[in-house]
Amino acid sequence: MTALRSAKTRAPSTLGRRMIVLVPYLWLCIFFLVPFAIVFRLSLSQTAIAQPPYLPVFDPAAGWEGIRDFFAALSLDNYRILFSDTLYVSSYLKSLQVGLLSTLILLVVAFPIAYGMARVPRRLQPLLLMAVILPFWTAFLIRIYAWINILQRDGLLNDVLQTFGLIGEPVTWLASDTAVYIGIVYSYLPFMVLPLYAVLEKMDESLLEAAADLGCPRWKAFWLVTVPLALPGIAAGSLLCFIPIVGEFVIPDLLGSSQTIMIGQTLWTEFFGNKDWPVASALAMLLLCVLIVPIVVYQHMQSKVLERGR
Amino acid sequence: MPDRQLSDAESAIPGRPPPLVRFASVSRRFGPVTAVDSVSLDIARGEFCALLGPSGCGKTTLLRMLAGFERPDEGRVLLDGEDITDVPPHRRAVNMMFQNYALFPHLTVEANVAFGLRQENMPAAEIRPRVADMLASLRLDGLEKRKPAQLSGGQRQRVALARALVKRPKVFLLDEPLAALDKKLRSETQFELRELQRKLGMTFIVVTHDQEEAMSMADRIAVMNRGSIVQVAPPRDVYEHPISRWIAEFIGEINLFEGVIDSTGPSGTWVDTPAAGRVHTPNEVPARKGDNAFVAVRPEKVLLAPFDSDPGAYNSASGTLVDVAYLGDTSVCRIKLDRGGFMRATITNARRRGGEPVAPGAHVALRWEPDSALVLVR
Repeated sequence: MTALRSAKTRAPSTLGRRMIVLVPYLWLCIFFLVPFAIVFRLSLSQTAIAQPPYLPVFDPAAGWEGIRDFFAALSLDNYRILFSDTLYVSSYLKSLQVGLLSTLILLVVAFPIAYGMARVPRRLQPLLLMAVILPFWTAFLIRIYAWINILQRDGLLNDVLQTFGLIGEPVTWLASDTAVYIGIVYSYLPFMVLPLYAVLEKMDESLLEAAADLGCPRWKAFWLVTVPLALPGIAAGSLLCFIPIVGEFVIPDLLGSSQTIMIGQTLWTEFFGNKDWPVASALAMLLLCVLIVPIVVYQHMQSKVLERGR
Repeated sequence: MPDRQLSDAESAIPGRPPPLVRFASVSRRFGPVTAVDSVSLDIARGEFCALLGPSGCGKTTLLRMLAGFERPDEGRVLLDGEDITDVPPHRRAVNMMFQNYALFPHLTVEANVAFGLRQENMPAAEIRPRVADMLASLRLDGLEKRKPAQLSGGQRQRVALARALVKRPKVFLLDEPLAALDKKLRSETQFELRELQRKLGMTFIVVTHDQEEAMSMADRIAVMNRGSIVQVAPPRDVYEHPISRWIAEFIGEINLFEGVIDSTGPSGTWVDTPAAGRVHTPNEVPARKGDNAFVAVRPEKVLLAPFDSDPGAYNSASGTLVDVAYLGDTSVCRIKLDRGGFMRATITNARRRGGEPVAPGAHVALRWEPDSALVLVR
């Protein structure tokens, strides 16, 4: 039976068809696997004042001897450095903290927006969707510089607050965690709103009526019906935000203080400041390991949802 | 009209129990459209009432006002003597089965059915047996752990029934309960619903556009058109004694002849029709000589007779048989009348062999009893 089926499917699958399948694999190989291998190999090397700035360098001319020497020179020293210096550990923890907290804030801010978008008359929805996507039309960096303008001492925010008499003296917003959170929540909002909108828009409103009919007040129906049904969107949006936020460099660098350093900034300093490529690579490898966990959890959830739907 | 609402004198008639549900001159407008126009309707305890009408007639809006999803712009809704017009849906002792069932897709069958009881803060030890009983009585045992997506259409419908009935509502509302089922399952379910209602002694209000559904299940049918109730009567009366031409045409097939009243009185009504001649019916109508009227007669009450037979006291017309549609149990004959117009007659195929009693092209006489015809002046 299997042989029969495979024979049938194989019959028209000529070389051309296999080539098409090959394209994404080739892409992944060239632009993901190979760079990944290079970074991994760098993370096992030692820094050196040389060109390239690390050791050992693989010398194909030395033959077998060279290969043996090369592998003998690789070590896990860089990882040991990462765990022995509190600078690295604390920047990891800081990144995770910023990632978690801002994802949470994003959820709280984005849910009502997405919910409202899904509930307005259908002909208005494309307009609102447009409004959510519109900021992407301006360069990201420009928008962050705009925030510097808004948040600085004589900036727009302080002006407005003073005009309304809410504050007496100008508040220092810039170079603080608050500014980082504002910048992150602002920048990533569409990535949270869109997946939430996608699930909420599909939700059948009669389910909420059914809940009310069965004696469930509105606020409770939200937790018992809306949130569970929005779970796939919540998971997708949270991942879409959490992962890049943890590795975020530009926003904390421009809006944050020099006291709180996220892993992206540490990486930058190691690579461009200290020119220590091996340690920077080890940092990147470790960051990847941290981020793989939520991705795997999400994949697992997705496959369960798919099974349930069947 | 507003002073008609809450005229409690009517419900205070001695000897008659007050109605369980009362719509007192309720109206509901959506922008320029009046979905429900000053409707008053009383429904007794234990009654199976159907709201029947074409789509857009306001029947669903009326039902939703009782469930609490629509607030009437005018008028009041009373349940068991209590004004519930301003009570939110989650505090009303009515439950509804939604047209698409609205089962919670993320919950199992068991959790769906238990949902309503959990809202009453009933202890889990009490919920479990009640849910199990309900599921068993609707032949859903064994499916407790399934999700709605894993059920057939019929099973889903029974879960929706169970979820509402387990709450033991004062009134059970069904919005097009059978619309999503296939034809065979639908006719089975009609009888099951009827039986269920008798067994529980519960008050059922069903909204439907399907007259067969309404007639087979309900004790009483409220026929609705354009936001108003046009007739409330038991199924037999709605079919046999429709009070207007619209109802007569909406429910079942009917032959209509335009004519002019010749005389009407306690001895009956005579109508002159161009197509069917002079027609006699025993009912008196609120009209005068010379008024326009329609004579209505159901196809199954028309007999085919040899052309030259004696009509006796029957009403009579003659024509040529144009075609015969064989439907299995019955055949529908279409006759072109000699004096213009068409008429339908249904004959029962009581015998298995022998072909058609009359062949197309034959010249036939049509007879119907005076009692079978109706004169409609509206």
